[in-house]
Amino acid sequence: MALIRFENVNFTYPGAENKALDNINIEINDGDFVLICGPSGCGKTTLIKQLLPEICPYGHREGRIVYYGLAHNPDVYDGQNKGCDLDELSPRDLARTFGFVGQNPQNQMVTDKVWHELAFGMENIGTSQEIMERRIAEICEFFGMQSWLNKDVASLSGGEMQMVHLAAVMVMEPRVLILDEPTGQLDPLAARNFLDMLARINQELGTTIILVEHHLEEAYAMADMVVAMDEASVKCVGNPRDVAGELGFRAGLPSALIIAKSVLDGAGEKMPVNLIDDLPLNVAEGQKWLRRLFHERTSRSTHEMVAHTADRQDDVSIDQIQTWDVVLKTQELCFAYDEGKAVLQDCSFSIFRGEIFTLLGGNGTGKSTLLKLLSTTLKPAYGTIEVLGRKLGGFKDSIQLKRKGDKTPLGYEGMVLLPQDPMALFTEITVWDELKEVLDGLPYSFDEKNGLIAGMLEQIRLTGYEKRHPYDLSGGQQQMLAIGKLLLLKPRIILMDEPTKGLDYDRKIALGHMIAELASEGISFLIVSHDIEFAARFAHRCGLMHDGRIVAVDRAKSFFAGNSFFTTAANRMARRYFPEAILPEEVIELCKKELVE
Amino acid sequence: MVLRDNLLEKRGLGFIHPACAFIYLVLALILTMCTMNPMLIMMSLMAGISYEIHIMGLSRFRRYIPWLVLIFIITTLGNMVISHNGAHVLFRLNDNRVTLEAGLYGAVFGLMFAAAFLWCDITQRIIAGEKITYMFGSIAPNMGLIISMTLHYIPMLRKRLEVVHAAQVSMGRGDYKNRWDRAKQWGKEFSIVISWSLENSIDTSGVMSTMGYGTGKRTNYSNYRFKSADGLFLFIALALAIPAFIVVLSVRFKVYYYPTFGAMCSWKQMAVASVGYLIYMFIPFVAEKFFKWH
Repeated sequence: MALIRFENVNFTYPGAENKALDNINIEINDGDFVLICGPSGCGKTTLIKQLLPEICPYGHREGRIVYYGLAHNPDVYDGQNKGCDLDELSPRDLARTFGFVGQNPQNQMVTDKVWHELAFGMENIGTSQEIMERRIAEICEFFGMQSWLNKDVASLSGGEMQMVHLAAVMVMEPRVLILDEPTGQLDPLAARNFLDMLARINQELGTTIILVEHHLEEAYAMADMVVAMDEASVKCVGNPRDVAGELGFRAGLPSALIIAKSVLDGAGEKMPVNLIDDLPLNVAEGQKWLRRLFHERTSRSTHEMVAHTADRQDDVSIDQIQTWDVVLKTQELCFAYDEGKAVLQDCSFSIFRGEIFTLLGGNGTGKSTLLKLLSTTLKPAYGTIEVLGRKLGGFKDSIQLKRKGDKTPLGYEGMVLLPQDPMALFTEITVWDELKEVLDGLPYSFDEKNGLIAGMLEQIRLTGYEKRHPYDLSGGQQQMLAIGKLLLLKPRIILMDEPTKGLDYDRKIALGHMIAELASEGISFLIVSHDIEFAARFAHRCGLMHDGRIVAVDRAKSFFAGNSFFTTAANRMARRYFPEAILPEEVIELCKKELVE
Repeated sequence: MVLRDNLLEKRGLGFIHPACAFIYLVLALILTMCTMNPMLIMMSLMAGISYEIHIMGLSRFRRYIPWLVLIFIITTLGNMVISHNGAHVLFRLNDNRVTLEAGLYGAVFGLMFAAAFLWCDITQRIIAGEKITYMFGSIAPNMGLIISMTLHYIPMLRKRLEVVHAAQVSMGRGDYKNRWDRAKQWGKEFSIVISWSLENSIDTSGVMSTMGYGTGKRTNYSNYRFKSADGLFLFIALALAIPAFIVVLSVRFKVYYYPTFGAMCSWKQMAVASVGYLIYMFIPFVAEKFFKWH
């Protein structure tokens, strides 16, 4: 039964020539889990915001959005439900009907305590105390968050905040839950938990879910209906398995699906029908699919295929890396916030010139503390940090530095930090001023400065945006501007804190290529991240942080090949055949090679 | 330390419904401030001191003592210099009489001031955190929300300032020797945090409206229910407040300082009449005895 129907909906932003939504006709059924996907800028967010008049951007809309779920409408269940126009709903009805979860967990927290956060929505629509108490008790049972109830919101992690907001929305008992990239800012584990909770809400409560997502590795298989959009219009609609073959894009799809589709596309001769019809959507299905592929194509056993490994041309061996100059070296770093609970213990590592080193690991393993020590906002309890041959950290050292007239190894021609949120770097009102601000006090003439800024704008692909306010740029462009600011300082080492957070697939790849290019010019990168795929693709070496120390450091390929759980989806899917293949492309290439032979 | 405060929110006077505890505390403050009777003020002061020591420990209370003594000395000396009434002249200062009575009045005023300060401090400790939000929220829901949002914002701003500072330090802007440069740098960091947070608050306001904020009258969720113990507490407190107010306000028990110090009735009568006042002031101790967790 249809719950919402878009009838010839068009939407144009003021002053824009092209439509942001072009003739949208879709029907969303009651109780469905709907996934809206597509490349960035295709109109996904604009589409769902049409259901949320309160936060819908200003623009011109044509067509009708019909809502069939009004409870007080007597026609609802007798087959004659004509529905009502969405615009006819009162603001209070809208708030009750549509729950919304956005991308940034911090921004969705309104009050200071978790219980108040849960009560906030109900307070707004005038719910009585008895009902509020009952609903909060119920939702705490459902989410298992009793122990959080009296916590300060500020003490929650991003994943917990997002979960609290989801609970706060669910407590209002919405008919439709709308989510705009809710896992974009979360680490993989929290993202997984969040998606699992969505599935439970959908299955156990029957709430209709409309999810916009870039990262589809897990979300894709969960949906009942996929709406694939491109260039402002809907390209295909249907069951995820049925439309898997028709999707016009690959970015962000489950690795198993990408591999299967590419292998099928590449195979010139006719493939068995069951391989084409039965596209895999997750790792387990991918493994079965590969097994079937090789069983039907070749009669050789898996043992014979193990010998094949992918060759990356740009691969550098670990011995080679270790002949490069050391630019950053820590020795036996120890740190504790509270006595008796060490956050870092004996943390030692070196970063070489022109190297991309990715430090992976879960929350609370000491990654962010390490960054704070490196940026000198915290002082190590024990151990030393050497940056470009100069010691960093201890109070005595900095006094000695000053006495010698030596400058600190941070900043200009030294080490810089890219914070997680690029907004933490912006001070000015235009992009140009933002870049100019960095050069203040540096020994350049006026013309030299202008030249440098213009050059940098080109490098970060923001030429033409000089007059824009930094906050008016897209997330990816803000990231680029922040990197541009740092690059003007001619850094030798760049520390990056979760640089891929909130970026979609294409922007991630663009960022990765930029980092690789800079590394080849001799800049070293220490990237702290949760993003396994990104590390697998671009890092020279990877390290795993655990319990305050770095437990495994290796060349990216060997690192992931050596891990059993902490590795890419493509590797997990194909490791039985190709243990060293960690990227989908590598698996695809090896599959093709195998099929040809 | 923190643990002690958390416990405090839940036991003794903190166990009582915040509205009842608040009424009691405000009445205690009024009873302290409306009298200049040294006997009553000593009672109030003793009750205040002993309850403070009980809830915050002697070691932490010790830090208050110099300030309380300072208040006492300032008011005593101050009144001796300002007021020249009184029969017993101690000496003359610049041709002005400095009297015993003025000193006495100043001293009692100082004690009253110290007692009032302690009762305010107790109120601030008992009606803390969520209870403030609740107290305001039940009177004006929007006010309660604003306080709650502010309490949410403060730690968030502090966190953001840390992030911004780390990024600035790593751009080589950490150690300016010049004070002006340092102030300028601080201003820069502060302005980043403010504009960053304002930008994000647009997002927050969007979320608030999708959650129905501004669609009509709000209600106020409260974590506190009115228990039978609260009713009993309030009843006893109000009952004891009557004799206490009588002794404070009645002309029969007035104390005068000028021209000489004295009372309208005998001190014996006064002591008998003050029993109600004394009990009222020590109610928190009784509450401690009854409302504890084990």
